[in-house]
Amino acid sequence: MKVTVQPIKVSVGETGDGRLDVADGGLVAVLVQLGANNGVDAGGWFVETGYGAMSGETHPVFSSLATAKDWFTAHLTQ
Amino acid sequence: MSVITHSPYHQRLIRKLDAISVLGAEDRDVLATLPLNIRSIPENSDIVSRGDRPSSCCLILEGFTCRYNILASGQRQIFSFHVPGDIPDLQSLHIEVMDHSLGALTPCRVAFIPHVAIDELLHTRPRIARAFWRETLIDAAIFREWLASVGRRTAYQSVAHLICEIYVQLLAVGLADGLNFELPITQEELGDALGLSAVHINRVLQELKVARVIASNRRQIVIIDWERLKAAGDFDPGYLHLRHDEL
Repeated sequence: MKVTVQPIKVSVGETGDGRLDVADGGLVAVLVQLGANNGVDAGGWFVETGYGAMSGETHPVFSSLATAKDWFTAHLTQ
Repeated sequence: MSVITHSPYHQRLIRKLDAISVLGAEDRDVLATLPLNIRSIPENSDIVSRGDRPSSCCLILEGFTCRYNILASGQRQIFSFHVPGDIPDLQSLHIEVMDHSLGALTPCRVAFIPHVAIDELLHTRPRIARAFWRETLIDAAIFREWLASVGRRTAYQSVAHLICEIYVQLLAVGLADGLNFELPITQEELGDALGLSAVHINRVLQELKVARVIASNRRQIVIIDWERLKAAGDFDPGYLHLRHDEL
């Protein structure tokens, strides 16, 4: 399972900084970096939406993209 | 003329029932004689749990509570929020086993009223019986609105709707100060009620603040523009079936 992330702008009123999370060539999630307004999770990466095995899941807010990639890799290879 | 002194605890219940139903002076006096077993409940603990077989109903005197269930996934679904004056587990009078839990979101003071005492009132005071029945019907009307919020309203609409609802409920029992009220519910708890993440709740609250619809400072909410908040939430207080126009 190879998980990669690609930059994308997301219109959700946060920093606008987002990532497409791709596993084995298929889109599994859109990540958005939270803005300063977001209190304890400011700067963290939030799973805006998930697809396939990642849809409807409860995800943590990740402190870094590396953590997010590790989590997705572990989750998708379960 | 009434000669019975209504304790502040009984007054909570009387005020609530007065807001939704027609009671006579004698009904109020009889309500004021209900035996109350007062207890303090720490925050984030259950008052009644799923599977319990209660022998009393719980009148909220102080604090915020919610009814909820934990799903197999470990996620919590909050079904309703309750404010002082509410009896959130009134149904336990007729439905023996709790099919959900009632939890304290903040430190609470509650009064347990024995089922036998309520049953006695239902048999002897038709207007009180009607008031309790009406209370449970309004409870169902609130669930219908929540279903619409969870199923069809956007995050922005459903958060605005919920703020409107809690405000009007607090206003009806004298617990809002003009357009100011205390909302000691966390963003996570709001998310568990509306099926949204705390991140989405935070975003919507920020949008409502930036648009100068509401302002908030810690647990205090100030409604800056009631008409715009109602419009944002698609909110019509008709389903709360209050006797007096609160707004």
